[in-house]
Amino acid sequence: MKEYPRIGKSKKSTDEESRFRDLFHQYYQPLVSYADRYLYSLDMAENIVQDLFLKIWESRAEVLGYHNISAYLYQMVHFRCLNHLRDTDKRSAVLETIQSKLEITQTNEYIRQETYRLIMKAVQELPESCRQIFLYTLHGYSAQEIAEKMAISVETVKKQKQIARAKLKEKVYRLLMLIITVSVLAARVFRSIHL
Amino acid sequence: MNTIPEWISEKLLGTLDPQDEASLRQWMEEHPENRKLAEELQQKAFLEGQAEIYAAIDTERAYGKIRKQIRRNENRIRFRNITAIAAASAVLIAVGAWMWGSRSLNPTPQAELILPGTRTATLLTDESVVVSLEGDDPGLAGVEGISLLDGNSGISYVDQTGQSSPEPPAQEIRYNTLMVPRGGKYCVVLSDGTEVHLNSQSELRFPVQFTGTERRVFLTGEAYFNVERDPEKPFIVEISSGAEVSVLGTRFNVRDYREEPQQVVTLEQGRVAYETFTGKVDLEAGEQLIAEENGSVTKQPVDTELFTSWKQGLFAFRDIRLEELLTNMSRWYDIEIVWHDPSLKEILFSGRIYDYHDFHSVIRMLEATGNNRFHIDGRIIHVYQ
Repeated sequence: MKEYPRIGKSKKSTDEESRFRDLFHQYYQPLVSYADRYLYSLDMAENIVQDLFLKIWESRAEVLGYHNISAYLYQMVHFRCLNHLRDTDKRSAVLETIQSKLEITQTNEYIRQETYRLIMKAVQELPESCRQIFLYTLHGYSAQEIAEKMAISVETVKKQKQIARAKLKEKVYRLLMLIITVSVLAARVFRSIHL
Repeated sequence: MNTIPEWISEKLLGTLDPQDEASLRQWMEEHPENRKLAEELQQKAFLEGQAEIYAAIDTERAYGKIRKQIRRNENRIRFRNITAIAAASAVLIAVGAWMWGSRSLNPTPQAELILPGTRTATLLTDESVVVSLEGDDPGLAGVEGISLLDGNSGISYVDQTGQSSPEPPAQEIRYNTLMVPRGGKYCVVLSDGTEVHLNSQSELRFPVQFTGTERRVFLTGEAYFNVERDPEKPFIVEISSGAEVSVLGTRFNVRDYREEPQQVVTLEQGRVAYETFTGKVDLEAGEQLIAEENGSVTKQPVDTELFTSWKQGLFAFRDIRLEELLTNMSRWYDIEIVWHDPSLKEILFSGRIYDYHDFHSVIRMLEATGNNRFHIDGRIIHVYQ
């Protein structure tokens, strides 16, 4: 991640800033990708998500304190997209398809984006030596194919795959308790903000 | 859908434990749609499609862009302050010039975010000491016998020392009054351990210590009571026009806002009696009583959660009229509602919204589901078609 000069000066504002930056880097791609499913326009999707983050910055003290910021972010993008569609008068046409299946679409899309985000987050935290190998594995390539692609031995591929699995397991167990609490909360909040 | 993204991602990463694996399988069987989704997410095509979209989204560039925007916004505020100082100095030199200058420099006012209310109240003790209960360190130091609850969400009169002081003679009953403004909520634990949650724009007057044969408090506005059981001393809530709600120990909600034509008592558990000069009505758990201004009293079974969830920070409503919904919210967000089309008041809404959202998010949710539009002008909300 690139270093940026600070916006504020005090200790508190530096802390808020780094949390804001982390939040942005963690969620920007998933949220844009989520918005794109409504808008079918990456440009528009990027605008909407950037705009949301500007608003979050303005009320950062509050928003950064939310228990379940993930559900909040997706929900906000959802409403911003609907508003945008309405303002551009595409609402009726698109909503015909969206709103009848609003809940299921929204939930599925949330699961889709969050799943991919969590996968990528886990992969990114792997040591560099096994990251690419593991990514190929995820995409369904065999050890043989990966070895050919990367011009390394099949043994190395297998060994690095093992290392990757071990690393992931280690991390998962450490995070398990935290994830369960957070995601139960997530589900609850996410459901309850459906209108 | 508790941990579904976690389950599926772990399944793919090969770290899903057998217990979660079983839960995931169960979820998949709940609905063909679920199965379809879970299977789709484990396929190469999904990962590749996502990777392709991610590749087209440049996070660093976007972050740089919004940082620039943030700086610009913050400089504008600074600039506005400088303009104000400059303008003020200019007054000394030439009032006329300043009038002209400010007009041409006048920045467009930005819509202010309407933030939710906070845990806040004012306490009036019988010595007429006024204590503002807000933030981390309310000035309770000078007031004896009161302690702050966790998270500064309320105050307690329960004796912390453990030794019960002798009951003071009746004529010495000391009263305190807790006043919660619009945009506030607050909790008080009375000396007998009874918990009272006060909603926005509400007031409770109560004895610092209960003496005699009853526990009597006075309420205007809305409060949720969790009354400590004491069969010897009934707990009585006196509301306007002399009506009383009396209980021995139970949980219930009383709503009696001056500007609303009825009094509403909702009973979550146990039994209460509602009594006026003209008669007495008993209420069972899960029932709600509505007393109209003209004296008519009706009872009906209700889902009590809809009437008590406010104390947990949740607006929950089912087929509620938009007018009623916005009236409730106007107290918490401290806003005024202007109706440009009275028929909109009758639109029915169902849903749940946590009270920590700013009002704009609430509006976005309402607009997304209804045909009504909102225009915000300071703290005045215009509702129109």
